[in-house]
Amino acid sequence: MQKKSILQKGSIDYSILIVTLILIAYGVIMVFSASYYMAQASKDYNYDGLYLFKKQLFGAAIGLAAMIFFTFFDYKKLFKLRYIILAIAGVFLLAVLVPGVGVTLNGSSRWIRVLGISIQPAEIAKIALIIFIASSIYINRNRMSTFRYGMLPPLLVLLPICVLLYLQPNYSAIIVLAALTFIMIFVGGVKGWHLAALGGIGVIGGIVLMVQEPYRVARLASFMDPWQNPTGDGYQVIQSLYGIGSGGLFGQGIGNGTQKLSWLPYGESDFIFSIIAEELGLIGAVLLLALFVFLIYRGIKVAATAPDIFGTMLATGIVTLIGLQVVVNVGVVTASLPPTGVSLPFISYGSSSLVIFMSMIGILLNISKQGRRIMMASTARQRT
Amino acid sequence: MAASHVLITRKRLLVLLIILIVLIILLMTRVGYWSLWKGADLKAQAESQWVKDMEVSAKRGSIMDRNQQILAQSAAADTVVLLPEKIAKAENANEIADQLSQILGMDREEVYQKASNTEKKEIWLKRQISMEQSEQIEALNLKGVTFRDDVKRFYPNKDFAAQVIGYTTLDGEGQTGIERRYNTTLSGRAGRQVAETAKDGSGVPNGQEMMIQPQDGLNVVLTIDEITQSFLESACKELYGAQSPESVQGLVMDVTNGEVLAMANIPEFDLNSPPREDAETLSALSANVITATPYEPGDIFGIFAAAAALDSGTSAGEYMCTGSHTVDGEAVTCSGAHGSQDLANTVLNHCNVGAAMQADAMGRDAFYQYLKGFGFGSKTGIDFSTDTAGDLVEKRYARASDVAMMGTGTDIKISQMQLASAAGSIINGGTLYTPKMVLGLSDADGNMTETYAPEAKGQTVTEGTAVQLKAIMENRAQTDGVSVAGYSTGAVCGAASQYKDGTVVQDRVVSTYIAYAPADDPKYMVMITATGVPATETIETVCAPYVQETLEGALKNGNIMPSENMQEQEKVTVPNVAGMQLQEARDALANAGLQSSYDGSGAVVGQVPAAEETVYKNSTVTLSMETKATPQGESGMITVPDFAGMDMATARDTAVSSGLVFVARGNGVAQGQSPAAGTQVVQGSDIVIEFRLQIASAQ
Repeated sequence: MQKKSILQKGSIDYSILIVTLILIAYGVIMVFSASYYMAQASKDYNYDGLYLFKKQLFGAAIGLAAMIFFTFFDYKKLFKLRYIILAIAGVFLLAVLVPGVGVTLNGSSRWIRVLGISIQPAEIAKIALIIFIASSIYINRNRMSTFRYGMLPPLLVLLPICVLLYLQPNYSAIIVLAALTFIMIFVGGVKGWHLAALGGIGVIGGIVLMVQEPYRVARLASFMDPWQNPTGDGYQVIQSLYGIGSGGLFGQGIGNGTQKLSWLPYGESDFIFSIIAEELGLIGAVLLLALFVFLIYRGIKVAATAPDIFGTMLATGIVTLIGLQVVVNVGVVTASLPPTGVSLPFISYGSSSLVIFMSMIGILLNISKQGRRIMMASTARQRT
Repeated sequence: MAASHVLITRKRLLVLLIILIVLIILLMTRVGYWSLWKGADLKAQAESQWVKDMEVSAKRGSIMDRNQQILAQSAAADTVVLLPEKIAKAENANEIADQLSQILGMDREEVYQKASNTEKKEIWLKRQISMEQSEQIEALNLKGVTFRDDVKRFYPNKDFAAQVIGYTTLDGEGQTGIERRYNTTLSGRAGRQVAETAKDGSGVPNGQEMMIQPQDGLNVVLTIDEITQSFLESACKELYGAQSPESVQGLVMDVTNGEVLAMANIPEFDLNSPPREDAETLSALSANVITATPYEPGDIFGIFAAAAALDSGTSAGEYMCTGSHTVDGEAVTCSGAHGSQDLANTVLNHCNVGAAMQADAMGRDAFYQYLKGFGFGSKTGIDFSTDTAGDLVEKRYARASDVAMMGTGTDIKISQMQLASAAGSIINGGTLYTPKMVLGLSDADGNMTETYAPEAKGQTVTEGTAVQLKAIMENRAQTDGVSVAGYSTGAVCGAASQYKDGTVVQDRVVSTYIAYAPADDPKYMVMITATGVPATETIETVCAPYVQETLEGALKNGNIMPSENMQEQEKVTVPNVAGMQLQEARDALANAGLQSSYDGSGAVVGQVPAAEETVYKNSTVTLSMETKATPQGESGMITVPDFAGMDMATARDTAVSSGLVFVARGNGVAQGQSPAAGTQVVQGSDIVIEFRLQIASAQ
């Protein structure tokens, strides 16, 4: 009796919660290990070795609050909020382009400072786009095979976002969002040849963008053979591979890596996976990827058992984003993809990304709770 | 309808799941490929990037005189470095140019150019600056100006024995002299430091480190005696000033073992700042003419012709000189017609005809045998950077006329070192020693690790011949009035044509004077050569007074007992002059046949030797006076200055100028001294100063 009542209430998928918390802890520890030397030697961080670690801990705390909030926040309400969220994302994306508001770093303006906190609008755009596409598919669930209702709305929203991201410029976010949209409408049920055509246009567009700026071609070349230019474009990738290579099977032990000592740039953010491989070895790296596989598996399960198509698509979008970022990030770090700045979800340093991903997990948990309630209800119905 | 789209979605979700899982598994494999398959290779590359292999330089050994007085020593010194990028950022190129050009005595424009050359990452502005300069620059606290630790070679006595000691490059590589010859020994072996570093070269936490300690160079202890060298140098400098030759070479040798006690080449140069920019001047100044430059010895060579003639038993009772003599169709001319002379007089008269006759009489084979025996035509084997073999015509090409000419010291080229060692062999009774410059090697604590024994090369002439020749030389010394009170002396001299670019220089000659003492048991031989001295009446004896002066110094410094036969000469008893007034005392001593020296005025309070002692006539009695002449007088008291922080050269100058004898221990900057600063000591006392290498200030 007691057990039944819990099930009827509907419980969240605890395994997702636990895996997420493990990932956060994993990430915070590795950010500490990867950033300490760099931060204590840098004037930008007041020579405080714990600076980035503290910021990441702070981000994790905010993220935890956001995750709890969204776990109890009925995801269906997001449907109604879709335009508001989209508008907020739009405003942020515009604001970043305003000189004085946007923070320019390494030639691109990716952050804005609000109340002393740096926010990356691209991260907000990701969730806004997921909610909008999920809503669109929910509305048009019965006419997904048409171009007008199935494909057009998502693309019409994606396009301006991409233009704004292009102006930053932040091409990696464009690639991720484009791939996200593609996969969401694929799962949403658009026609096969519509997708094929869209994919073709995407590839051609990508090539055009690539040829436009010579440094992108160089980056591509450096991915094919980083040793061609070991001090220039290939440097970061080579350093990343040095990290993985010197880790071996068991790693140097946590905290004992050498590559983070000024050799590997962005070892605490985009290239943290290399530091993990160096310190925790192949075992640590594979374990991390296995945690992601598990998270994706459970996430897809949540998508499949969601109470409605909006929940399904929301969960799909969230899982896809996580999966995409893992694949692209690890792909870059292992010299399997051309270098591009995509963070490793839950692990890489960056509060915006952490808070957004944890909010998404909150949403996912809420969907899982509601899906289970329905599942339990139907099972109960069948038994009686 | 509703069911179908849910079905499609579920199917496609499964596809998505599979794709993502496959991709991630592929990535796991990819990680495995890099960490296991390529891991060892990547790790090796990474390690070579992390590890920095640095050379740790060894400390260069010192060069010391035979009493281990320092002649050359290495110490820390700063090198000023400009960082143009920082200067550009701070926009202080003008300020730097103004300040540094003034402090370092450099051209302002040059400094400015270097400071604003942003193409370079760092520029070494000036190496091995003095401590004062680096303190001044440090005090300015200029952005973009920094220092690198460097090591400078210090020569505390500056130009002292410059050609013997030699100089080094700024990096401490010996270029000439002992610095060059013993470069490897002095350098030691560099160590290595292998350490894990960050990209900017700084150390890393928990970094591995391995150190191979450098092996410091050994000290080279010369046979040179600092005091004898000073006597020789001041005599040579006097000669250089008084007779205006182009150059003067001087040598003091111990004929009993071939050790060179002093060797001077005037003009000299300050080894601390050799004229590096002017290669030609530098190579001319730094050449040790004595060992490096062959020349035609001229009529001084007559002593060897006579030696060979006597020793081979081919000497004649009489040599008739009519002013010229023809051998095998070639005429040998003489400075004058000397008439009939015996062998001794051919030497004393510098008679070319006599010498030619002697060489001719013994024939080519015998003469060459003696030339070889004296070491002409082959290297002396001196342990020095330069050692010329001279120029001796190969025996089979020598005609009878050539042999006769060689007897007169022409058509043969020898080095002054060969001349000295050959002369030394006659003086010591016939043994030819390899001339020696280095006594041995010592370690940092001053212990001798290696000692080089004298090396006898062979017998040049028999003892009997040597005795006969020495009688001639004693005669020469008497004629020239070369004498040192209490010692018997011998001498040989001569003049030769000076050649420049293969032709004879008119009105200039090379004049050499050699003297030794004590004549009955020879110890020291002094040889001074004035090269390019104006030809005058007394051309053969122009160097004689300076040789005598040096010889006297060497004998006194060497504690040589006066000769036996001199002791048989007059002896007197020292009168008691204590209590007398100065003039009274001096008269009393003069009456007794004694010299006197005094250090003040008033009454005599003491005397050395004491009253009633028996001493040689004409020796000196030193009087101690009631009133000292000056506070800086012979036994005056002085206050010890504070040496702390001085570098070696400055400390030495300070010590010398305040009348102290400078004794250095260690290397670097003065950190301790004994006696302490402010102590009253007798003038001429030792001041022992501890030097320690500067500890690089952490910036």
